[in-house]
Amino acid sequence: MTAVQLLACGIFLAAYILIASERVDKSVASLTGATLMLLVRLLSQEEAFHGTDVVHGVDWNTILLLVGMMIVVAITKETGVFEWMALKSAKVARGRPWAILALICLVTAVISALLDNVTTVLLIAPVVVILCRTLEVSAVPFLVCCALSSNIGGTATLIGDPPNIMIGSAGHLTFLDFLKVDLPIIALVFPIFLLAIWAAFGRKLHVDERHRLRVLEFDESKAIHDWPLLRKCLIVIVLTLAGFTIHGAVGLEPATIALAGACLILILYGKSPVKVLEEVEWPTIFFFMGLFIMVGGLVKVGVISMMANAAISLTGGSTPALAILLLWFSALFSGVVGNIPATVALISLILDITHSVHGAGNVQALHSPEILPLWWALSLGACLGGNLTLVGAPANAIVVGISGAAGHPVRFVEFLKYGVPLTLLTLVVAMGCLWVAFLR
Amino acid sequence: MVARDIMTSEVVTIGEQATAREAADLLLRLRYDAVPVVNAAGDAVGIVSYEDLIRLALPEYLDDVDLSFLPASAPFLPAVDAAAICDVQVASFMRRDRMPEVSPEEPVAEIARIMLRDNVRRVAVMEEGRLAGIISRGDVVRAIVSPLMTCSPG
Repeated sequence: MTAVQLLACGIFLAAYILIASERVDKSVASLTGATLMLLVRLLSQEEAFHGTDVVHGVDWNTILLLVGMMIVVAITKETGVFEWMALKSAKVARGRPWAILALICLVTAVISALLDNVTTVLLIAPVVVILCRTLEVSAVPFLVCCALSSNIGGTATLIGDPPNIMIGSAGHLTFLDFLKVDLPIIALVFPIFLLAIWAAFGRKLHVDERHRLRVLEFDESKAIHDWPLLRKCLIVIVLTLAGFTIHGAVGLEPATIALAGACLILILYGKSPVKVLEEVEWPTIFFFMGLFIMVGGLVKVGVISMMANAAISLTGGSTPALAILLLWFSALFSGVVGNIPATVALISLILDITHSVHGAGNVQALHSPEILPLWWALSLGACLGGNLTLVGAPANAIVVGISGAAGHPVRFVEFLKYGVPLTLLTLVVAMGCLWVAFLR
Repeated sequence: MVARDIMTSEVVTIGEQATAREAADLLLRLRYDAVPVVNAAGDAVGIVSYEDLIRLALPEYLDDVDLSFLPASAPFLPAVDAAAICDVQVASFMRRDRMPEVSPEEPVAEIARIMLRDNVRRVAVMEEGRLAGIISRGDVVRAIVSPLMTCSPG
Protein backbone atom coordinates (compact mmCIF):
# COMPACT_ATOMS: atom_id res chain seq x y z
CA MET A 1 0.00 0.00 0.00
CA THR A 2 1.15 3.52 -0.76
CA ALA A 3 1.32 6.27 1.86
CA VAL A 4 -1.77 7.91 0.37
CA GLN A 5 -3.71 4.64 0.58
CA LEU A 6 -2.60 4.16 4.18
CA LEU A 7 -3.73 7.69 5.04
CA ALA A 8 -7.13 7.16 3.41
CA CYS A 9 -7.59 3.81 5.17
CA GLY A 10 -6.52 5.35 8.48
CA ILE A 11 -9.10 8.14 8.29
CA PHE A 12 -11.80 5.74 7.09
CA LEU A 13 -11.12 3.11 9.76
CA ALA A 14 -10.87 5.69 12.54
CA ALA A 15 -14.24 7.15 11.52
CA TYR A 16 -15.91 3.73 11.18
CA ILE A 17 -14.53 2.60 14.56
CA LEU A 18 -15.91 5.77 16.16
CA ILE A 19 -19.27 5.16 14.46
CA ALA A 20 -19.36 1.53 15.65
CA SER A 21 -18.29 2.46 19.19
CA GLU A 22 -20.98 5.16 19.42
CA ARG A 23 -18.58 7.19 21.56
CA VAL A 24 -18.99 10.15 19.21
CA ASP A 25 -22.20 11.14 17.46
CA LYS A 26 -22.11 9.21 14.20
CA SER A 27 -22.91 12.25 12.05
CA VAL A 28 -20.00 14.14 13.60
CA ALA A 29 -17.62 11.17 13.11
CA SER A 30 -18.68 10.76 9.50
CA LEU A 31 -18.51 14.45 8.57
CA THR A 32 -15.14 14.85 10.32
CA GLY A 33 -13.67 11.87 8.44
CA ALA A 34 -14.99 13.27 5.16
CA THR A 35 -13.68 16.76 5.84
CA LEU A 36 -10.25 15.40 6.82
CA MET A 37 -10.08 13.62 3.46
CA LEU A 38 -10.86 16.91 1.73
CA LEU A 39 -8.37 18.88 3.87
CA VAL A 40 -5.47 16.55 3.06
CA ARG A 41 -6.58 16.53 -0.61
CA LEU A 42 -7.22 12.80 -0.83
CA LEU A 43 -10.02 13.86 -3.12
CA SER A 44 -11.13 17.24 -4.42
CA GLN A 45 -14.29 19.02 -3.34
CA GLU A 46 -15.55 18.69 -6.93
CA GLU A 47 -15.17 14.89 -6.75
CA ALA A 48 -16.75 14.76 -3.29
CA PHE A 49 -19.74 16.99 -3.99
CA HIS A 50 -20.49 16.31 -7.64
CA GLY A 51 -18.69 13.06 -8.45
CA THR A 52 -16.82 11.99 -11.55
CA ASP A 53 -16.87 8.82 -13.65
CA VAL A 54 -14.57 7.14 -11.14
CA VAL A 55 -15.40 8.75 -7.78
CA HIS A 56 -19.14 8.95 -7.15
CA GLY A 57 -19.17 11.45 -4.31
CA VAL A 58 -22.38 12.40 -2.49
CA ASP A 59 -25.36 10.54 -3.97
CA TRP A 60 -27.95 13.32 -4.12
CA ASN A 61 -30.56 10.89 -5.42
CA THR A 62 -30.32 9.02 -2.10
CA ILE A 63 -30.11 12.19 0.01
CA LEU A 64 -33.14 13.90 -1.52
CA LEU A 65 -35.21 10.70 -1.63
CA LEU A 66 -34.60 10.40 2.12
CA VAL A 67 -35.45 14.06 2.74
CA GLY A 68 -38.60 13.84 0.61
CA MET A 69 -39.90 10.77 2.39
CA MET A 70 -38.99 12.21 5.81
CA ILE A 71 -41.15 15.27 5.02
CA VAL A 72 -44.08 13.05 3.98
CA VAL A 73 -43.78 11.02 7.17
CA ALA A 74 -43.29 14.08 9.41
CA ILE A 75 -46.72 15.38 8.39
CA THR A 76 -48.40 11.95 8.31
CA LYS A 77 -47.35 11.16 11.86
CA GLU A 78 -49.24 14.23 13.14
CA THR A 79 -52.52 12.50 12.24
CA GLY A 80 -52.04 9.70 14.80
CA VAL A 81 -52.45 6.98 12.17
CA PHE A 82 -49.40 5.03 13.40
CA GLU A 83 -50.81 4.76 16.93
CA TRP A 84 -54.19 3.85 15.43
CA MET A 85 -52.67 0.94 13.51
CA ALA A 86 -50.96 -0.42 16.65
CA LEU A 87 -54.13 -0.10 18.74
CA LYS A 88 -56.32 -1.53 15.98
CA SER A 89 -53.99 -4.56 15.88
CA ALA A 90 -54.56 -5.12 19.59
CA LYS A 91 -58.33 -4.83 19.15
CA VAL A 92 -58.42 -7.13 16.12
CA ALA A 93 -56.33 -9.60 18.15
CA ARG A 94 -59.00 -9.28 20.87
CA GLY A 95 -56.28 -8.70 23.44
CA ARG A 96 -54.61 -12.09 22.99
CA PRO A 97 -50.87 -11.50 23.41
CA TRP A 98 -49.48 -13.71 20.64
CA ALA A 99 -52.01 -12.37 18.15
CA ILE A 100 -51.12 -8.81 19.20
CA LEU A 101 -47.41 -9.52 18.77
CA ALA A 102 -47.90 -11.08 15.32
CA LEU A 103 -50.21 -8.32 14.09
CA ILE A 104 -47.99 -5.52 15.43
CA CYS A 105 -45.00 -7.14 13.70
CA LEU A 106 -47.00 -7.33 10.46
CA VAL A 107 -48.22 -3.74 10.70
CA THR A 108 -44.70 -2.52 11.50
CA ALA A 109 -43.26 -4.48 8.57
CA VAL A 110 -45.84 -3.13 6.10
CA ILE A 111 -45.49 0.50 7.22
CA SER A 112 -41.69 0.16 7.23
CA ALA A 113 -41.78 -1.11 3.64
CA LEU A 114 -43.49 2.13 2.60
CA LEU A 115 -42.25 4.74 5.07
CA ASP A 116 -39.27 5.54 7.27
CA ASN A 117 -38.41 2.71 9.73
CA VAL A 118 -37.24 5.03 12.50
CA THR A 119 -40.47 7.04 12.59
CA THR A 120 -42.54 3.86 12.39
CA VAL A 121 -40.98 2.29 15.47
CA LEU A 122 -40.76 5.64 17.28
CA LEU A 123 -44.57 5.85 17.20
CA ILE A 124 -45.54 2.18 17.44
CA ALA A 125 -43.16 1.20 20.26
CA PRO A 126 -44.68 3.54 22.91
CA VAL A 127 -48.13 2.08 22.21
CA VAL A 128 -46.60 -1.40 22.49
CA VAL A 129 -45.28 -0.48 25.97
CA ILE A 130 -48.75 0.65 27.05
CA LEU A 131 -50.33 -2.52 25.66
CA CYS A 132 -47.77 -4.80 27.34
CA ARG A 133 -48.13 -3.05 30.69
CA THR A 134 -51.91 -3.32 30.44
CA LEU A 135 -51.59 -7.03 29.66
CA GLU A 136 -48.91 -7.38 32.35
CA VAL A 137 -46.47 -9.15 30.01
CA SER A 138 -42.81 -8.23 29.46
CA ALA A 139 -42.50 -5.55 26.78
CA VAL A 140 -38.97 -6.56 25.74
CA PRO A 141 -39.77 -9.34 23.23
CA PHE A 142 -42.55 -7.22 21.75
CA LEU A 143 -40.28 -4.20 21.36
CA VAL A 144 -37.31 -6.10 19.93
CA CYS A 145 -39.55 -7.97 17.47
CA CYS A 146 -40.99 -4.61 16.45
CA ALA A 147 -37.50 -3.42 15.42
CA LEU A 148 -36.67 -6.71 13.69
CA SER A 149 -39.97 -6.61 11.75
CA SER A 150 -39.31 -3.03 10.75
CA ASN A 151 -35.97 -4.03 9.21
CA ILE A 152 -37.41 -7.13 7.53
CA GLY A 153 -40.36 -5.18 6.10
CA GLY A 154 -38.07 -2.40 4.92
CA THR A 155 -36.10 -4.93 2.85
CA ALA A 156 -39.10 -5.46 0.56
CA THR A 157 -39.04 -2.16 -1.33
CA LEU A 158 -36.69 0.41 -2.83
CA ILE A 159 -37.88 3.04 -0.34
CA GLY A 160 -38.22 0.70 2.66
CA ASP A 161 -34.71 0.83 4.07
CA PRO A 162 -31.77 3.21 3.49
CA PRO A 163 -29.50 0.44 2.09
CA ASN A 164 -32.09 -0.26 -0.62
CA ILE A 165 -32.40 3.42 -1.50
CA MET A 166 -28.63 3.58 -2.05
CA ILE A 167 -28.51 0.25 -3.91
CA GLY A 168 -31.38 1.28 -6.18
CA SER A 169 -29.65 4.55 -6.94
CA ALA A 170 -26.16 3.14 -7.59
CA GLY A 171 -27.37 -0.01 -9.39
CA HIS A 172 -30.01 1.81 -11.47
CA LEU A 173 -32.64 -0.58 -10.11
CA THR A 174 -36.21 0.69 -10.10
CA PHE A 175 -38.98 0.47 -7.52
CA LEU A 176 -40.57 -2.26 -9.66
CA ASP A 177 -37.29 -4.23 -9.75
CA PHE A 178 -37.40 -4.36 -5.95
CA LEU A 179 -41.06 -5.41 -6.01
CA LYS A 180 -40.18 -8.24 -8.39
CA VAL A 181 -37.16 -9.56 -6.44
CA ASP A 182 -37.08 -8.43 -2.79
CA LEU A 183 -40.84 -8.34 -2.12
CA PRO A 184 -41.50 -12.04 -2.92
CA ILE A 185 -38.43 -13.04 -0.90
CA ILE A 186 -39.65 -11.02 2.10
CA ALA A 187 -43.17 -12.42 1.62
CA LEU A 188 -41.55 -15.80 2.34
CA VAL A 189 -39.02 -14.64 4.97
CA PHE A 190 -41.54 -12.77 7.13
CA PRO A 191 -43.93 -15.68 7.85
CA ILE A 192 -40.92 -17.86 8.67
CA PHE A 193 -39.70 -15.14 11.05
CA LEU A 194 -43.14 -15.08 12.72
CA LEU A 195 -43.15 -18.86 12.98
CA ALA A 196 -39.72 -18.76 14.64
CA ILE A 197 -40.75 -16.21 17.28
CA TRP A 198 -43.96 -18.16 17.87
CA ALA A 199 -41.94 -21.32 18.50
CA ALA A 200 -39.36 -19.49 20.64
CA PHE A 201 -41.70 -17.63 22.99
CA GLY A 202 -44.96 -16.60 21.28
CA ARG A 203 -46.78 -19.83 22.08
CA LYS A 204 -45.93 -19.46 25.77
CA LEU A 205 -47.48 -15.99 26.06
CA HIS A 206 -50.52 -16.06 28.30
CA VAL A 207 -52.36 -13.29 30.07
CA ASP A 208 -54.98 -13.00 32.73
CA GLU A 209 -58.49 -12.67 31.31
CA ARG A 210 -59.04 -9.42 33.27
CA HIS A 211 -55.97 -7.84 31.66
CA ARG A 212 -57.01 -8.99 28.20
CA LEU A 213 -60.39 -7.29 28.60
CA ARG A 214 -58.72 -4.04 29.66
CA VAL A 215 -57.05 -3.78 26.26
CA LEU A 216 -60.46 -4.04 24.60
CA GLU A 217 -61.51 -0.86 26.42
CA PHE A 218 -58.97 1.21 24.47
CA ASP A 219 -60.72 3.43 21.96
CA GLU A 220 -58.46 3.42 18.91
CA SER A 221 -60.75 5.78 16.98
CA LYS A 222 -59.65 8.59 19.32
CA ALA A 223 -56.00 8.10 18.30
CA ILE A 224 -56.71 9.85 15.00
CA HIS A 225 -57.09 13.51 15.81
CA ASP A 226 -57.00 15.06 12.35
CA TRP A 227 -59.18 13.22 9.82
CA PRO A 228 -58.97 15.88 7.06
CA LEU A 229 -55.14 15.83 7.27
CA LEU A 230 -55.13 12.02 7.28
CA ARG A 231 -57.17 11.98 4.06
CA LYS A 232 -54.68 14.38 2.46
CA CYS A 233 -51.72 12.28 3.65
CA LEU A 234 -53.22 9.06 2.34
CA ILE A 235 -53.85 10.67 -1.06
CA VAL A 236 -50.24 11.90 -1.22
CA ILE A 237 -48.83 8.53 -0.11
CA VAL A 238 -50.90 6.66 -2.71
CA LEU A 239 -49.89 9.13 -5.45
CA THR A 240 -46.23 8.95 -4.41
CA LEU A 241 -46.28 5.13 -4.44
CA ALA A 242 -47.96 5.22 -7.86
CA GLY A 243 -45.20 7.59 -8.99
CA PHE A 244 -42.54 5.18 -7.71
CA THR A 245 -44.05 2.26 -9.63
CA ILE A 246 -43.76 4.16 -12.92
CA HIS A 247 -40.54 6.12 -12.25
CA GLY A 248 -38.44 3.75 -14.35
CA ALA A 249 -40.93 3.71 -17.22
CA VAL A 250 -41.16 7.50 -17.43
CA GLY A 251 -37.43 7.99 -16.90
CA LEU A 252 -37.60 9.89 -13.59
CA GLU A 253 -35.30 9.23 -10.63
CA PRO A 254 -36.99 8.14 -7.35
CA ALA A 255 -35.78 11.31 -5.60
CA THR A 256 -37.83 13.39 -8.04
CA ILE A 257 -40.95 11.39 -7.15
CA ALA A 258 -40.26 11.71 -3.41
CA LEU A 259 -39.73 15.48 -3.70
CA ALA A 260 -42.96 15.79 -5.68
CA GLY A 261 -44.77 13.94 -2.87
CA ALA A 262 -43.11 16.17 -0.26
CA CYS A 263 -44.08 19.37 -2.12
CA LEU A 264 -47.66 18.20 -2.58
CA ILE A 265 -48.08 17.32 1.08
CA LEU A 266 -46.49 20.62 2.20
CA ILE A 267 -48.94 22.53 -0.04
CA LEU A 268 -51.97 20.54 1.17
CA TYR A 269 -50.78 20.86 4.80
CA GLY A 270 -51.16 24.61 4.50
CA LYS A 271 -49.47 25.45 7.80
CA SER A 272 -45.92 26.78 8.24
CA PRO A 273 -43.38 24.19 7.04
CA VAL A 274 -40.78 25.26 9.64
CA LYS A 275 -41.67 22.61 12.22
CA VAL A 276 -42.07 19.94 9.55
CA LEU A 277 -38.64 20.68 8.08
CA GLU A 278 -37.14 20.56 11.58
CA GLU A 279 -38.52 17.01 11.88
CA VAL A 280 -36.33 15.82 8.98
CA GLU A 281 -33.60 13.70 10.55
CA TRP A 282 -30.80 16.07 9.59
CA PRO A 283 -28.08 14.26 11.61
CA THR A 284 -28.82 11.13 9.53
CA ILE A 285 -28.64 13.14 6.30
CA PHE A 286 -25.23 14.57 7.24
CA PHE A 287 -24.13 11.09 8.31
CA PHE A 288 -24.88 9.86 4.77
CA MET A 289 -23.03 12.78 3.14
CA GLY A 290 -19.90 12.10 5.18
CA LEU A 291 -20.01 8.38 4.38
CA PHE A 292 -20.35 9.00 0.64
CA ILE A 293 -17.34 11.34 0.69
CA MET A 294 -15.17 9.00 2.79
CA VAL A 295 -15.87 6.02 0.55
CA GLY A 296 -15.23 8.30 -2.45
CA GLY A 297 -11.76 8.90 -0.96
CA LEU A 298 -11.13 5.15 -0.71
CA VAL A 299 -12.24 4.69 -4.32
CA LYS A 300 -10.01 7.55 -5.50
CA VAL A 301 -6.82 6.13 -3.95
CA GLY A 302 -7.57 2.62 -5.23
CA VAL A 303 -8.28 0.83 -1.93
CA ILE A 304 -11.73 -0.30 -3.09
CA SER A 305 -10.16 -1.72 -6.29
CA MET A 306 -7.74 -3.74 -4.17
CA MET A 307 -10.64 -5.12 -2.14
CA ALA A 308 -12.61 -5.88 -5.31
CA ASN A 309 -9.64 -7.75 -6.77
CA ALA A 310 -9.23 -9.67 -3.52
CA ALA A 311 -12.94 -10.62 -3.56
CA ILE A 312 -12.69 -11.73 -7.19
CA SER A 313 -9.58 -13.83 -6.63
CA LEU A 314 -11.03 -15.33 -3.42
CA THR A 315 -14.12 -16.51 -5.30
CA GLY A 316 -12.40 -17.24 -8.63
CA GLY A 317 -14.69 -14.62 -10.15
CA SER A 318 -17.69 -16.95 -9.85
CA THR A 319 -20.91 -14.97 -9.53
CA PRO A 320 -22.68 -17.40 -7.14
CA ALA A 321 -19.64 -17.44 -4.85
CA LEU A 322 -19.31 -13.64 -4.99
CA ALA A 323 -23.04 -13.18 -4.28
CA ILE A 324 -23.01 -15.52 -1.30
CA LEU A 325 -19.82 -13.96 0.04
CA LEU A 326 -21.40 -10.52 -0.34
CA LEU A 327 -24.65 -11.62 1.36
CA TRP A 328 -22.92 -12.91 4.47
CA PHE A 329 -20.14 -10.34 4.59
CA SER A 330 -22.59 -7.43 4.26
CA ALA A 331 -24.70 -8.88 7.10
CA LEU A 332 -21.66 -9.25 9.36
CA PHE A 333 -20.30 -5.82 8.40
CA SER A 334 -23.76 -4.31 9.10
CA GLY A 335 -23.80 -5.95 12.51
CA VAL A 336 -20.47 -4.32 13.36
CA VAL A 337 -20.77 -0.79 11.94
CA GLY A 338 -24.46 -0.51 11.05
CA ASN A 339 -26.06 -1.28 7.70
CA ILE A 340 -25.86 2.25 6.31
CA PRO A 341 -22.04 2.64 6.49
CA ALA A 342 -21.60 -1.00 5.43
CA THR A 343 -23.76 -0.51 2.33
CA VAL A 344 -22.03 2.70 1.21
CA ALA A 345 -18.68 0.87 1.24
CA LEU A 346 -19.94 -2.33 -0.41
CA ILE A 347 -21.79 -0.49 -3.20
CA SER A 348 -18.47 0.96 -4.34
CA LEU A 349 -17.05 -2.57 -4.23
CA ILE A 350 -19.78 -3.85 -6.60
CA LEU A 351 -19.22 -0.87 -8.91
CA ASP A 352 -15.51 -1.69 -9.04
CA ILE A 353 -16.18 -5.39 -9.68
CA THR A 354 -18.47 -4.29 -12.54
CA HIS A 355 -15.59 -2.30 -14.05
CA SER A 356 -13.18 -5.23 -13.62
CA VAL A 357 -15.56 -7.70 -15.26
CA HIS A 358 -16.98 -5.56 -18.06
CA GLY A 359 -14.51 -2.71 -18.43
CA ALA A 360 -17.49 -0.38 -18.18
CA GLY A 361 -19.98 0.86 -15.58
CA ASN A 362 -23.04 1.51 -17.78
CA VAL A 363 -26.52 0.19 -17.03
CA GLN A 364 -26.04 -2.87 -19.27
CA ALA A 365 -22.94 -3.83 -17.29
CA LEU A 366 -24.65 -3.15 -13.93
CA HIS A 367 -27.58 -5.37 -14.90
CA SER A 368 -25.51 -8.13 -16.56
CA PRO A 369 -26.05 -11.70 -15.30
CA GLU A 370 -22.64 -11.55 -13.58
CA ILE A 371 -23.43 -8.37 -11.60
CA LEU A 372 -27.21 -8.23 -11.05
CA PRO A 373 -27.30 -10.98 -8.35
CA LEU A 374 -24.63 -9.05 -6.41
CA TRP A 375 -26.99 -6.08 -5.93
CA TRP A 376 -29.72 -8.31 -4.55
CA ALA A 377 -27.23 -10.15 -2.33
CA LEU A 378 -26.12 -6.81 -0.87
CA SER A 379 -29.71 -5.63 -0.44
CA LEU A 380 -30.76 -8.77 1.44
CA GLY A 381 -27.50 -9.06 3.38
CA ALA A 382 -27.38 -5.45 4.57
CA CYS A 383 -31.12 -4.98 5.26
CA LEU A 384 -31.62 -8.31 7.04
CA GLY A 385 -28.13 -8.07 8.59
CA GLY A 386 -29.32 -4.87 10.26
CA ASN A 387 -31.07 -7.18 12.73
CA LEU A 388 -27.85 -8.87 13.83
CA THR A 389 -26.90 -6.45 16.61
CA LEU A 390 -28.08 -3.36 18.43
CA VAL A 391 -26.04 -1.14 16.07
CA GLY A 392 -27.08 -3.00 12.90
CA ALA A 393 -29.90 -0.65 11.94
CA PRO A 394 -31.19 2.69 13.26
CA ALA A 395 -34.57 1.26 14.36
CA ASN A 396 -32.86 -1.09 16.84
CA ALA A 397 -31.38 1.68 18.95
CA ILE A 398 -34.74 3.49 18.96
CA VAL A 399 -36.70 0.57 20.47
CA VAL A 400 -33.92 -0.24 22.92
CA GLY A 401 -33.98 3.42 24.03
CA ILE A 402 -37.74 3.29 24.56
CA SER A 403 -37.46 -0.05 26.34
CA GLY A 404 -34.86 1.43 28.69
CA ALA A 405 -36.99 4.51 29.37
CA ALA A 406 -39.92 2.21 30.16
CA GLY A 407 -37.83 0.44 32.80
CA HIS A 408 -36.64 -2.57 30.77
CA PRO A 409 -33.04 -1.90 29.72
CA VAL A 410 -31.91 -4.19 26.89
CA ARG A 411 -28.16 -4.71 26.82
CA PHE A 412 -26.06 -5.47 23.75
CA VAL A 413 -25.87 -9.18 24.61
CA GLU A 414 -29.61 -9.50 25.29
CA PHE A 415 -30.34 -8.03 21.86
CA LEU A 416 -27.98 -10.63 20.33
CA LYS A 417 -30.13 -13.42 21.78
CA TYR A 418 -32.92 -12.30 19.47
CA GLY A 419 -30.84 -10.78 16.67
CA VAL A 420 -28.33 -13.54 15.91
CA PRO A 421 -30.64 -16.58 15.53
CA LEU A 422 -33.36 -14.65 13.72
CA THR A 423 -30.87 -12.96 11.37
CA LEU A 424 -29.22 -16.29 10.56
CA LEU A 425 -32.62 -17.83 9.86
CA THR A 426 -33.82 -15.00 7.62
CA LEU A 427 -30.47 -14.89 5.77
CA VAL A 428 -30.52 -18.63 5.08
CA VAL A 429 -34.04 -18.34 3.64
CA ALA A 430 -32.99 -15.29 1.61
CA MET A 431 -29.89 -17.11 0.35
CA GLY A 432 -32.07 -20.01 -0.78
CA CYS A 433 -34.35 -17.63 -2.67
CA LEU A 434 -31.38 -15.85 -4.24
CA TRP A 435 -29.99 -19.21 -5.33
CA VAL A 436 -33.25 -20.31 -6.94
CA ALA A 437 -33.78 -16.96 -8.64
CA PHE A 438 -30.30 -16.13 -9.94
CA LEU A 439 -27.50 -18.48 -9.07
CA ARG A 440 -28.49 -21.98 -10.18
CA MET B 1 -38.94 48.60 44.11
CA VAL B 2 -36.25 45.92 44.43
CA ALA B 3 -36.00 42.18 44.99
CA ARG B 4 -35.76 42.46 48.78
CA ASP B 5 -39.18 44.17 48.94
CA ILE B 6 -41.10 41.38 47.25
CA MET B 7 -39.18 38.17 47.91
CA THR B 8 -40.44 35.33 50.05
CA SER B 9 -37.62 35.03 52.56
CA GLU B 10 -38.78 32.07 54.58
CA VAL B 11 -37.87 29.55 51.90
CA VAL B 12 -39.25 26.05 52.32
CA THR B 13 -36.83 23.42 50.99
CA ILE B 14 -36.80 19.66 50.57
CA GLY B 15 -33.90 17.26 51.12
CA GLU B 16 -32.45 15.45 48.09
CA GLN B 17 -33.10 12.10 49.82
CA ALA B 18 -36.84 12.79 50.05
CA THR B 19 -39.17 10.74 47.85
CA ALA B 20 -41.38 11.90 45.02
CA ARG B 21 -44.43 11.33 47.20
CA GLU B 22 -42.99 13.57 49.96
CA ALA B 23 -42.23 16.26 47.39
CA ALA B 24 -45.76 16.02 46.00
CA ASP B 25 -47.30 16.17 49.47
CA LEU B 26 -45.19 19.23 50.37
CA LEU B 27 -46.10 21.11 47.19
CA LEU B 28 -49.79 20.28 47.50
CA ARG B 29 -49.90 21.25 51.16
CA LEU B 30 -48.10 24.59 50.67
CA ARG B 31 -49.79 25.32 47.31
CA TYR B 32 -46.35 26.11 45.82
CA ASP B 33 -45.53 24.90 42.34
CA ALA B 34 -41.85 24.26 43.15
CA VAL B 35 -39.40 24.06 46.05
CA PRO B 36 -35.58 24.20 46.12
CA VAL B 37 -33.79 20.92 46.87
CA VAL B 38 -30.97 21.04 49.43
CA ASN B 39 -28.22 18.55 50.29
CA ALA B 40 -27.19 17.49 53.81
CA ALA B 41 -25.03 20.62 54.14
CA GLY B 42 -28.03 22.81 53.38
CA ASP B 43 -26.75 24.00 49.99
CA ALA B 44 -29.30 24.34 47.22
CA VAL B 45 -28.57 21.62 44.63
CA GLY B 46 -31.65 21.80 42.42
CA ILE B 47 -35.34 22.44 42.22
CA VAL B 48 -38.34 20.14 42.12
CA SER B 49 -41.65 21.27 40.67
CA TYR B 50 -45.04 19.92 39.66
CA GLU B 51 -43.66 19.77 36.14
CA ASP B 52 -40.87 17.41 37.24
CA LEU B 53 -43.36 15.19 39.07
CA ILE B 54 -45.62 15.02 36.02
CA ARG B 55 -42.61 14.28 33.78
CA LEU B 56 -41.69 11.42 36.10
CA ALA B 57 -45.12 9.89 35.47
CA LEU B 58 -45.22 10.69 31.75
CA PRO B 59 -41.93 9.58 30.14
CA GLU B 60 -40.53 11.54 27.23
CA TYR B 61 -40.98 8.72 24.73
CA LEU B 62 -44.73 9.29 24.96
CA ASP B 63 -44.51 12.99 24.04
CA ASP B 64 -45.53 12.39 20.42
CA VAL B 65 -48.24 9.84 21.21
CA ASP B 66 -51.86 11.03 21.51
CA LEU B 67 -53.24 9.32 24.60
CA SER B 68 -56.94 10.08 24.00
CA PHE B 69 -57.52 6.37 23.41
CA LEU B 70 -57.15 5.55 27.12
CA PRO B 71 -60.49 4.48 28.65
CA ALA B 72 -62.09 6.06 31.71
CA SER B 73 -61.33 2.92 33.70
CA ALA B 74 -57.57 3.06 33.05
CA PRO B 75 -55.17 4.26 35.74
CA PHE B 76 -53.28 7.50 35.08
CA LEU B 77 -51.10 5.74 32.51
CA PRO B 78 -50.82 1.98 32.13
CA ALA B 79 -47.20 2.31 30.95
CA VAL B 80 -46.06 3.61 34.33
CA ASP B 81 -46.08 1.97 37.73
CA ALA B 82 -47.40 4.78 39.94
CA ALA B 83 -46.51 3.01 43.20
CA ALA B 84 -42.87 2.61 42.14
CA ILE B 85 -42.65 6.24 41.06
CA CYS B 86 -43.74 7.47 44.50
CA ASP B 87 -40.59 5.99 46.02
CA VAL B 88 -38.14 7.57 43.57
CA GLN B 89 -35.73 9.95 45.31
CA VAL B 90 -35.95 13.62 44.50
CA ALA B 91 -32.20 13.72 43.67
CA SER B 92 -32.77 11.42 40.69
CA PHE B 93 -35.36 13.52 38.87
CA MET B 94 -34.99 17.12 40.17
CA ARG B 95 -33.67 19.73 37.78
CA ARG B 96 -30.09 20.62 38.53
CA ASP B 97 -29.95 23.71 36.36
CA ARG B 98 -29.80 26.62 38.75
CA MET B 99 -32.48 29.25 38.96
CA PRO B 100 -31.40 32.64 37.68
CA GLU B 101 -29.79 34.44 40.60
CA VAL B 102 -30.30 38.09 41.47
CA SER B 103 -29.08 40.35 44.26
CA PRO B 104 -31.49 41.73 46.88
CA GLU B 105 -31.04 45.17 45.30
CA GLU B 106 -32.10 44.09 41.79
CA PRO B 107 -35.02 46.22 40.47
CA VAL B 108 -38.24 44.24 40.09
CA ALA B 109 -38.52 45.34 36.44
CA GLU B 110 -35.20 43.63 35.69
CA ILE B 111 -36.44 40.46 37.43
CA ALA B 112 -39.62 40.61 35.32
CA ARG B 113 -37.48 40.95 32.18
CA ILE B 114 -35.34 37.91 33.14
CA MET B 115 -38.48 35.83 33.79
CA LEU B 116 -39.94 36.58 30.38
CA ARG B 117 -36.66 36.41 28.45
CA ASP B 118 -35.57 33.06 29.92
CA ASN B 119 -39.12 31.74 30.38
CA VAL B 120 -38.47 30.94 34.06
CA ARG B 121 -41.10 30.81 36.76
CA ARG B 122 -38.93 31.96 39.67
CA VAL B 123 -35.56 33.48 40.54
CA ALA B 124 -33.31 33.00 43.57
CA VAL B 125 -32.29 36.05 45.58
CA MET B 126 -28.72 35.49 46.78
CA GLU B 127 -27.03 37.47 49.54
CA GLU B 128 -23.37 36.80 50.38
CA GLY B 129 -23.53 33.41 48.68
CA ARG B 130 -26.59 32.26 50.63
CA LEU B 131 -30.15 31.85 49.43
CA ALA B 132 -32.00 34.81 50.93
CA GLY B 133 -35.33 34.34 49.22
CA ILE B 134 -37.35 33.30 46.19
CA ILE B 135 -39.37 35.48 43.85
CA SER B 136 -42.16 33.84 41.85
CA ARG B 137 -44.10 35.23 38.91
CA GLY B 138 -46.99 35.81 41.35
CA ASP B 139 -44.76 38.03 43.50
CA VAL B 140 -43.89 40.14 40.45
CA VAL B 141 -47.51 40.48 39.35
CA ARG B 142 -48.48 41.47 42.92
CA ALA B 143 -45.74 44.11 42.86
CA ILE B 144 -47.01 45.46 39.54
CA VAL B 145 -50.68 45.74 40.48
CA SER B 146 -50.40 46.93 44.07
CA PRO B 147 -49.14 50.48 43.28
CA LEU B 148 -51.63 50.69 40.40
CA MET B 149 -54.44 49.99 42.80
CA THR B 150 -53.27 52.48 45.38
CA CYS B 151 -52.53 55.18 42.76
CA SER B 152 -55.64 54.70 40.65
CA PRO B 153 -57.42 58.01 40.02
CA GLY B 154 -60.62 58.52 41.78
